[in-house]
Amino acid sequence: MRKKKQPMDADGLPWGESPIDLAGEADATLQTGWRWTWGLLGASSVALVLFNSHALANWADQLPPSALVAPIVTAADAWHEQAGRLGLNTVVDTVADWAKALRKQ
Amino acid sequence: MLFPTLPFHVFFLVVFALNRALARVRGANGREWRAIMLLVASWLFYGLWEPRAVALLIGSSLGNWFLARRIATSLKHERRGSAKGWLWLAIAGNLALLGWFKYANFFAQQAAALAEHLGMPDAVPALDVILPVGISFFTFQGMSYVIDVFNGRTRPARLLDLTVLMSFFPHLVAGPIVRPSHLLPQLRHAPRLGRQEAAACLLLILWGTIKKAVIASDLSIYLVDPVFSDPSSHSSLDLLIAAYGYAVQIYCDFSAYTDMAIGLAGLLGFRFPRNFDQPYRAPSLQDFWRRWHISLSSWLRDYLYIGAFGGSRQALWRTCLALLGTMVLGGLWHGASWNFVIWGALHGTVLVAERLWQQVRPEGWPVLPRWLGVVITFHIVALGWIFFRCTEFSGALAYLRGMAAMTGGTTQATPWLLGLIALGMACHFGPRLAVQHLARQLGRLPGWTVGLLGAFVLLVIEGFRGQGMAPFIYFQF
Repeated sequence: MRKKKQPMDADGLPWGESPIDLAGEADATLQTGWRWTWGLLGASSVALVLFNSHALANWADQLPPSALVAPIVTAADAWHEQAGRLGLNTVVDTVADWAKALRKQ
Repeated sequence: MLFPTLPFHVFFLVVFALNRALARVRGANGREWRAIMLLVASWLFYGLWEPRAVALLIGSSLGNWFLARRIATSLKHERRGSAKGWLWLAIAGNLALLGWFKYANFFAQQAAALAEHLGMPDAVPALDVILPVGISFFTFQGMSYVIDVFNGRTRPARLLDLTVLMSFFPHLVAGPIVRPSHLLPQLRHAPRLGRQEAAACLLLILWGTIKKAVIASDLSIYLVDPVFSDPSSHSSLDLLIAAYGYAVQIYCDFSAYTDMAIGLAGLLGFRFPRNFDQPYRAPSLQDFWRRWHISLSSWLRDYLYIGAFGGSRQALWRTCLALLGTMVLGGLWHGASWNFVIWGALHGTVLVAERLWQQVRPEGWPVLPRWLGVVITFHIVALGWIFFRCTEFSGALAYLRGMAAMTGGTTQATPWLLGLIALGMACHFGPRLAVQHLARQLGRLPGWTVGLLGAFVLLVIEGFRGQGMAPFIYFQF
């Protein structure tokens, strides 16, 4: 039954050899997988932009210094500070404090 | 570009969008443009790392494509001798490429040492060949392609398809080594992605990120690196815990990369094979190699142990030599160092011992309990990792001497680090299909909900990893 849905299995990686092979997925969810994944990637990206300004600031700080890079670093740091004031960095900062305490024990 | 970083996140979103847009274009046109897009994206991914190495990758793809065509043409005209000649040329070319970049420095150093010993200190010039990231992986892919074409296991590919196979960014720098017969047919079909499959991909990416950014990175920075860099100033207990720590670190580091690679390829509609299968629960070394770096061990088994050395369908002593030879060469694949050779020889010797014991074990003797087999196998593997981790043979010996000395003293291992070692071991003994079970549940929720859950996990990881993360171990191979 599965092989009819998956013609590539006839001459590709045998079914079941990949950790993402899930037998018996209903046709309805097979048809909507791409849209569902868009929702997933979109929501996670927006959440990360809002709540993970640390990543942006770290990335900007690691850029090689130049006149072109300077405004990017300034903007990233400004957003990081603003996000901190708005309380958007709470999750990362709280976990970072926990991690620090755990490592010191 | 590293997987769990902001630039890669942005890069992947763009590739995902383009991949989906081109997958909607029906017919051969859509497939062509999708392959071209993936190729350009892969070169960009690699080029941001090492721009010069992209030329090497293109050259290697071109060479393997051309030689495979010559092999196929010779076979078509029933000129097997000629096909064999082209095959040997292809293998020699790939090995020469690998040999130059990977082993030239080592052999130059050995030759210089010999020349100095003979009183000719300036006879051998110093070399400084820079190793391109991922060369061991894409060279093995190229070799398996030409051998498969010769053996009729895969059809000769178009240049575009072969170049995508060798350059595809999820597996380019640290595997898994994907067989041509597994990936090339997937390029010829429209990609498909179910919700539960996508959830499994997300889980693999998240779990890989946890293993790398939290477990492997902390073990490396706070335990393994300090202890291995100066074993003489640490207690025997520290050395023992760091050896266990390295066993967990290398598993969490390498399996994390391949988990992420499988998940990322899956989101683009490609199925990669499983590369790790709870290796430390193996009751024998033979079983360990069915579970550890499966794509490399099966490559070595098919192309070296069986293909070149004759496998197990020959006299027992020849089978044992084949096993030993395969493992020594497998060790050497990791790099030009006597320690890798010793690591391979240790594994080869134990595999030979297991094979001989299977042959001579008297009937009626009790069988080793499975749990005891697991404990013994894990400790043999952990012993091998000491040679693997130390850069010098003398360093490995000093480490082992330090462990055997049973010296007391304080320990560097905190409860947090011991907990990470326990967590790394515990994931070997959990349900084998945990990711798949969880993916089924997540696939029933709306995509945006799963996205927010995933983002929350990533925020927690970000908090744990702080400013730094140790580099992936397998990038050096």
